[in-house]
Amino acid sequence: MRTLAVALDLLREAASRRWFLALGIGITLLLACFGLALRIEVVDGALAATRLFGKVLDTDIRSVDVAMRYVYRAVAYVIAYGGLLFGIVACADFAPSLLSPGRIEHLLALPVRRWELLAGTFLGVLVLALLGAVYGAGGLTLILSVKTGYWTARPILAALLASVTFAAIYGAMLASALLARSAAISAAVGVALFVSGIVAGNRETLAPLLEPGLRRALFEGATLLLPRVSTMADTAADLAASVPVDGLALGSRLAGLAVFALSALAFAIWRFEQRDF
Amino acid sequence: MRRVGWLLAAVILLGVAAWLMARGDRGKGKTAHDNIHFPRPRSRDDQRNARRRTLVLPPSPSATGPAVPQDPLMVALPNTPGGTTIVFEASAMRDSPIGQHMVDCLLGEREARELADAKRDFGVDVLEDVQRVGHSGPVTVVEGDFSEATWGRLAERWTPRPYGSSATLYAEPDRDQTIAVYGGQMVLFGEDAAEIEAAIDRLEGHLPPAPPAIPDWAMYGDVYGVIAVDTLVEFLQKDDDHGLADTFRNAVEQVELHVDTSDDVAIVADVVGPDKEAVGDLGKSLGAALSIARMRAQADGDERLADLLDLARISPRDGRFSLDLALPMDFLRKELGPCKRKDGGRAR
Repeated sequence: MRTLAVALDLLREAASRRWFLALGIGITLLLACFGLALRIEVVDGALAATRLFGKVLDTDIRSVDVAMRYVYRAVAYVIAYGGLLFGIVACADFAPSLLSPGRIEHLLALPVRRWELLAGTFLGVLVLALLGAVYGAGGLTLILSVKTGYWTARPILAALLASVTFAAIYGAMLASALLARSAAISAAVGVALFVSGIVAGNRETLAPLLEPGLRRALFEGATLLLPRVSTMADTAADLAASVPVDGLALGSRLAGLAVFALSALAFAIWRFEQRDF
Repeated sequence: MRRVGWLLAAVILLGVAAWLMARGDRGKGKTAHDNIHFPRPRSRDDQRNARRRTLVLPPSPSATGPAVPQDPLMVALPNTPGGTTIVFEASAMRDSPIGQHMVDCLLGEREARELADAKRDFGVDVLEDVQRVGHSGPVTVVEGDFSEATWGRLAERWTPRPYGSSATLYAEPDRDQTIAVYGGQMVLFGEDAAEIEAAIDRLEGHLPPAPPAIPDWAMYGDVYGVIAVDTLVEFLQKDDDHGLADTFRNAVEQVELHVDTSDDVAIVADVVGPDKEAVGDLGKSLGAALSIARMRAQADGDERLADLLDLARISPRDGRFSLDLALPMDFLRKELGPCKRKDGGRAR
């Protein structure tokens, strides 16, 4: 319960930050602009023409839901990669500011356990990322659905998957903030994990390119522990594009990411418990 | 101890996460549609076509430049305006998944025996020696390596006569069938002996070669050619709820066909007509018809047809459009039915 209170406190803090409000307005303006500039011609359920800002986009004529799969696939990739990068940069400051002199002493004086404080911060950031992703993906899906008459919630599902990936990355960012209280370092760790996660997602393709031996074993060992960022982006895109996805494998990946996030959180709590303020 | 507990939990959880994520890696793989390669012009097709231009005909008296080598198959095939001309790359198709399936499963015991008879009687291994098969109007041409073939058994039943410098014509006494063996590389079939003779005359330079029925730039894919509009109209009329057949007849001048069989079977039909607007409208109508057919298949619970139509699309460009269709191998295996031969062709 106290964890939830901390999370809510973080959300209030985010709302009070002007640039988070600006972000919300920015997303809304982008969606409105996209909605007004997009013209889609649907003939008997087939997408016959698409114009964005008056320019003809794809001229292929095919069933609207089939044609929209490519759009939703692109949307899912933008949410997965763009949303992750944005989330890393936007949320890098939360943990360092929590630990800032004056504030941390105040928080520790409250009847809240240290692990609850950290778990609440983690939860609050995740809720924030989730809200942003669902708002962006939901708005875009709504516009495209109204324009084409084809309704689907799959891009929102893709946004939820991206949020799980962000949880793993933010866990590591939170842990790094406990080692060095710096928003820049926290963001750098997030970006490093983001990039190495793309490599890890392609580890089975990349490993055979290395000579068998120590280097390949080191590569395989290191990437084994990393969240598969690109795999999750591909899965999100597949889901958005109505491509059949192996449910068991997806469940494993999601559980893996969630457990990775919990592992990073446990490490952060261990470090937090050790520190004197 | 409690502090160490968090660290221990972190390490254990990291191990569990690595195990779970590694399990998830196994689910990655090719999607059902990754094997579909729609035929497009490629440099290797150009190289293949260049290698095949081996026939140097004596230049006509009016020609000014040197003689240009030509593809003997295309010289042999008559150019019938508005007719169907199609070429099958038999050697490429033989090694393709659909080719393998047809050889292994669709040839019954009787057909397999007939192939063995052809090998024994004429020294022709149809599955190995044939490279290309072309058909245009009244003439069918089989190109390949027939240097080891012996045509003596054919002469026992059919009446042979030499024609030109390198051909022998065999006429069937009871039916209007003619077979011509040209050198060690070509066998021509047809019902009209005069057309077969004309083909040999073109090959030997006694007749001026007509422009090829399929231009060089359109010779790509494992099957390629032009399809007669009337043939397609006939096909469309079978289940025509949208008046497409009439629109098609009025708008279309030529349909160019290309098929790739390297993995799944992918078909591209380029549709051209004199009136760009009419062709554009036809493309939209056809796209809508495909879309409706797909929705109907979904409503009827025919998932296989719906999946198939998922892959269909119309791409309009410059007053023409191309229709892409794909037939995944899984679909074809189910549609073509179980193996006729009990051994699944393994004895071959």
